[in-house]
Amino acid sequence: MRLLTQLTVTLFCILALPASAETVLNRSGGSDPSSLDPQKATGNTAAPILNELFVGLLTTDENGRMTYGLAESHTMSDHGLVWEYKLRDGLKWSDGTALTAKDVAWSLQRLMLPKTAARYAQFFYSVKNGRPVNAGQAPPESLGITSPDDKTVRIELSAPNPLLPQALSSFSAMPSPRHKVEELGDDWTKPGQFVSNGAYVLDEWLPGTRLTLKKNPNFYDAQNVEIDTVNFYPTQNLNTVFNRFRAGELDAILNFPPEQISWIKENIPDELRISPTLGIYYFLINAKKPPFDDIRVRKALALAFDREALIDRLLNTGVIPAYSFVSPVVEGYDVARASIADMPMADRIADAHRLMSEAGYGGNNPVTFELAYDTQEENRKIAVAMKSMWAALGFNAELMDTEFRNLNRKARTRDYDIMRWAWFSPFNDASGYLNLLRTGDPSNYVDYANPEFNALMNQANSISDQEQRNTLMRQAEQILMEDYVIIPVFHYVSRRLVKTYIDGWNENARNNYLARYMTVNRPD
Amino acid sequence: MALLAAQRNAHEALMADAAAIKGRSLWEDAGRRFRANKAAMAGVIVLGLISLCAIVAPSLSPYTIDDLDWMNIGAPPSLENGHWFGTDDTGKDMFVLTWIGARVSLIIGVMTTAVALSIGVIYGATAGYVGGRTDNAMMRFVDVLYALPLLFFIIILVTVFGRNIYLVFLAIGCVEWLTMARIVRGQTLSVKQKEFIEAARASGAGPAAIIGRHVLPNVVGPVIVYVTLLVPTNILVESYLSFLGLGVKEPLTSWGVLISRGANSIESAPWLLLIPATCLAITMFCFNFIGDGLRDALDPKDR
Amino acid sequence: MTSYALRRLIIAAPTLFMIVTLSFFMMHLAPGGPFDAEASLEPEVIANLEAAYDLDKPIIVQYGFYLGKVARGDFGPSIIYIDRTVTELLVIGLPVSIKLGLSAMILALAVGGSLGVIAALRRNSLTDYAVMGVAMTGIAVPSFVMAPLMSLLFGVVLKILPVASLEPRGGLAEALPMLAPITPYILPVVALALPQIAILARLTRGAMIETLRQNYIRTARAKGLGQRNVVWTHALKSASLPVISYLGPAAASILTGSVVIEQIFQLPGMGRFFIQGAINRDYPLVLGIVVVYALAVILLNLIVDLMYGLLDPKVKVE
Repeated sequence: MRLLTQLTVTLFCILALPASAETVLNRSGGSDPSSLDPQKATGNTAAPILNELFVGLLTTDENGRMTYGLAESHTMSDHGLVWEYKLRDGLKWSDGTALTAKDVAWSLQRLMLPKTAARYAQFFYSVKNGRPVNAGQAPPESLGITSPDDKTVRIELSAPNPLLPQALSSFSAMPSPRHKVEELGDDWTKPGQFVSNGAYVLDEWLPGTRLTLKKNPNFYDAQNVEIDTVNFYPTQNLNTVFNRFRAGELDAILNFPPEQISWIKENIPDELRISPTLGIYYFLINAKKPPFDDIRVRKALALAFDREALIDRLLNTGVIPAYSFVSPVVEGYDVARASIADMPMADRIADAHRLMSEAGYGGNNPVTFELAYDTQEENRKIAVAMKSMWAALGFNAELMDTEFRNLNRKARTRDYDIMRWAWFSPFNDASGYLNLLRTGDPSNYVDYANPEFNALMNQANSISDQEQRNTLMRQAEQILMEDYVIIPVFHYVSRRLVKTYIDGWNENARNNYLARYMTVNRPD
Repeated sequence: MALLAAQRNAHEALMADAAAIKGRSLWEDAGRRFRANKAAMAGVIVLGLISLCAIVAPSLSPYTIDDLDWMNIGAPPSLENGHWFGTDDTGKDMFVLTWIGARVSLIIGVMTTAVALSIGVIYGATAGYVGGRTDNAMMRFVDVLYALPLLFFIIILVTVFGRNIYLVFLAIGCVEWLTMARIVRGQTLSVKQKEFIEAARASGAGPAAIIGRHVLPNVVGPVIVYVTLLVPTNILVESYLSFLGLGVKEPLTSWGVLISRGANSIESAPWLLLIPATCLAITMFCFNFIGDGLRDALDPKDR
Repeated sequence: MTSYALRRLIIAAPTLFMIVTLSFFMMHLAPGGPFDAEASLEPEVIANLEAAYDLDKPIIVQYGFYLGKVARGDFGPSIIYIDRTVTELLVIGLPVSIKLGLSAMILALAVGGSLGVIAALRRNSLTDYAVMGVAMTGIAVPSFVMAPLMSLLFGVVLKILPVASLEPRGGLAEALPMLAPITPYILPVVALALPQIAILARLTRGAMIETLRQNYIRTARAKGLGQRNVVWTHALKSASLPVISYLGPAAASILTGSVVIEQIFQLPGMGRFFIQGAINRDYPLVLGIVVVYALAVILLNLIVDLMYGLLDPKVKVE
C-alpha cells in the first residue's frame, strides 16, 4: 500500500513537471566510432556522428543530396584540373575562433601526411602530388592543396577527377581545428576539449555506452537547428537494439534482426522505413582456378541461382534482386543487367545444364569447391540456399564459415574458390563500383583483366561530362556482366525503424540523416 | 613387435583391473546403492534414450540435414508435413537438426572430457606418485595455467586456428584438465601411503605398473564423479562459444548453435529455441542426477 | 602467512610473463590483420598505418617493444578506438566488470548459500526438492538464453527495467529515483549470478548435511543448544569451507560469463572490449585485457586460499 502511494506521488511529480524545453534525439549507432578526428576516422559508424559534428566545403541537404557547406560557390578551370572554393562569411569554430580557408587547406594537407596514417587519403590521390606526399616521397609543400587567401581553397589535380566534389563532402575532408590539434595533440578529441564547426559539438563520450552531442551556437545555420541534444547509443547486438527501440529507449535505429520483419509489418508498420541504398551483396569467383577458368561453368553458376526465390521466400527483407553490379539508385545511371536476367527460370536451368555438360561436368563429374562467407545469420542462410540450388546442377559446395577478418585475408591472398562479398560505394556514381574491377586496383579480388573494360573505364575516369561518362561506364558494365566473374545477389536496402514523431528523417541512398534537418514532437 | 607386446601388456593390465574390481565388494555395494537411487537411474535411462535418438532419429525423418523445404520455411511443428519439430529459417527440418545437434553436442561433451581425462589422470598420477620437488614444480605449473582466463584462451585459440570441430575438442579439453589433475594427485598422495602399495613395491613392481595397477583403480571413484560433471560443463562451454559465433559451423550443428539462433526469434518462432533448449536442459539434469548418484554410491558416509 | 602471500605474488610475475608471451604470439598468428577491411587500401596507406602501430617491424622486435611498454604499465594505443589508449579503455571497462562480477558474486553467495541451508535443514521435504529443482534449472539453462528473455520481459513487456546499456530507464528508475543508478545492473547481475546460485545452493546443501551429521554437532544438540544456535554458530562455519574453496572457480566463471552478459546487455565492460578486439585484431587491446584478467584471477585465487587458511584450522598455510 505504501509503495502504491509512493508510486502515485512520484508519478504525479513526473507528470506535473513542466514539459522540458530541450528536444532530444536518441539514435543507435552500430558500434562506437573509431575516432572523432575527421582525418583519422574510418568505417561507416563514424560517418553519421562526424556528419553532425563537422561541415566540409560541401555537405548534404535534408534529402541526402550534395550541397554547399562551408563554401558558397566554386569555379573549375584548366579542363577540370584546378578547382577553387570560396568560403561563406563569418565562419566560426564552436569555441568562437574564426574559421578560415587556411584551416580547411591545412586539414586536407594533414589528411595526406604519412604521419597521420589516414585510411581515406587514397580518395585524394588524384590531387597533384597526392600519392607521393602520402608515401613520404615528396615534400608536403608540393601538394596541390593551398589557400591563396582566407576565403579561398585551391585544389590542383594531376588528372581530371569528376568525383572530387563527392570526396570533398565525405568526412575525411572535413576541417579539424588546427589551433586545438597543435595545442593538444591527439587529445583534442576528448570531451571538454573538443572543438568542431558543424551543427553539433561533442558533449560526452562514454565508449560502449553513449555519445552525446549538443547544439553548437556558433554554427552558421544554428538558427534553423531544432534538436538540442543528439544521443548515439552504440549497440552491436541487433536484438538488443530492436528491444531498446520497442521499449522507447531509442527513437531511430539503423538496423534490426531480419527475422523480426513480419512482426514489424504486423505491429509497427508506420515505423518501418525501407529504401534502396548504394550497397551490393555479391559473390566473387576465383576465375584463375580450374574449373572456374571456364566461362561456361561460371555462367552455369549464375544461371542456376534463383535470386527471386531466395529473396522472397528465405530473406523476405525487401532487398532487390541484382543482375547488375552498379546499384539502380545511382543517380543518372541506367544499369547494365546481365543477359540472363530476362530468361524464365526453367530456361535458365536448362541452359545451365547444357553449359555444364558442354564443359564436361555434372552428373558423375561434380564440381567440388569451397563457398566461403563470414559469420552472420544472413550469409549463412544465403550460402545454405545457394548450396542447395547448385547441388541440382552437379556442384558440390562446401560451406566455409569464417570470421570477417579472415574472409578479408582470403580475398586479399586469393585463397578462395567462391566467396561472399559486399560493397558500399563511397560515391553516388557508377565508377564507385566499376573502378573496383580495373586491372591493378587493390580491390580487384577476382583479378579481372579485360582490356576492353579497362579502356572504357580509364576513358570515363578522365572526362568530366557526366552523361558521356555514364554511357562509357554502361558499356563497361555490360562487358563485365557477360564475363561472369562476380555473381550479384541483391542490392542492399536500408532497413530502419523510426518513431512516427520524428519529422525530417528522409530516406536517401547515401544514408545521410542529419539531426540539423529534423524535428522531434515526442508525445507526452 | 613392440607394439604387439604393448598391446598385450595393456590387455593384461585391463584384465587384472577387472579382476581387482570384481574382487572388491566395495564396488558391488556401490552398484547396489546406485541402482537404488531412483533419480540417478532415471537419469541413466533418459540419457540412454537421448543418445539412442541422437544415433537413429535423424534417419527416421523423411528429410535430411541438407534438404531445404522451400514450401515450409519457418513452419511450426506439424505431423502432416513430416516436420515434427517444425522447420528453421532456411526450411531445414528441426527434428533432424535437433538430433544431429544432439550427436555433436554429446560427442563434444564426451571427447573434450576424454582429452581432459587423459591429460589430467596421467599428469596428476605422475605428480602425486613421484612427489617431492617434481610434484611441487608440476603443481605450480597447474597453478600458472589456472590463472589463464579460460574462455579468453579458447577464443584466441579458435580465432587463430579457425573453427574446426577437433580444435574445439582440444581447446576445451586442454583447458579443463587442470581440476582433474588436482583431484587425481590428491587421491594418489593418500593412496601412496597404503600398505598394499608398499607390498607391491617390495615385490619388485616398477612405478608405471604400480600407478597403473594399484594407484589408478583406487582413484577411479572421485574421477568418475568429476567426469559426469565435466561432460555437461563442456557441452555448455561449446554452447557459449556458439553464442559468440565461435562454435561448430555449417553443415554441422549443435544444441548450442540451435539455441543461440533460436533465442533470436523467441517471439516469432518459439519452437526454434524451446526444443533444443529443453533437450539441453534435460541432458544437464540427467548428468547431474547421475553424478550425484555416483557420488552418494561411492562415498557411503555422504548418504 | 604474510610470507606465503608474498611468495605467491612473486610466482605471479613469471606467470604473467608467460601469459603475455603466449597471448602475444597467438594473437599475431591469427589470420587477417587489423587493416583488412572491405575497401582495400592502397599500399602506401597500409605502410603508413603499419608504421603508426609499429607493425612494420619484425615480430620479435614488436614483442620486445611490447614487453618494455607493459613493464612500464603502458599497454599502447588501441587500433579500433583510434583516439584512445588501451589503458583508457581498461579504466572504463574494469570498474564495470568489477561491479558486475562482485555484485553477482555477493548475490550468488547470499541467495545460493541461504537456499542451500534451507534445503539442508528440511532435507527430503518438498522445500528441499523445490529448491534443488530450481537450482538444477539454473545450471541447465545457459545464461545467453536467460538474459535475453529477462530483458524482453522486464524491459520491453513490463517496462520496469532498462533493456540494455548503463542508462537508467524504465518504471523502477522513475518511481524510485534513488535506485536509478543501480537499475541498469539488476538484470545483468541476476543473469550472471543464476548459474552460480544454483551451484552454490547444491554445494552448501551438501556441506551442511555433512556437517550436521558430525559428532560435535550432535553433542551440541545433546547439550540442549537450540537449533538456531547450532546451525548459525557451529554448523555454518565448518560448512562454509567447501563453499569457500569453490569461490575461486566461481569467480573465474563469473569473469568469463560476463563476456556473454556484457554482450547481451551492451555494457561497456572488459568482456565486450575483448570480443570486439579479438574479432577486429586489435592486438594491444586484447593483450591488455588478458593481462588484467590474469592478474585478477591470480589475486582472487590467493584471496580464496588465504580465507581458507583462516577458517580451517586443519589447513596450515606455509
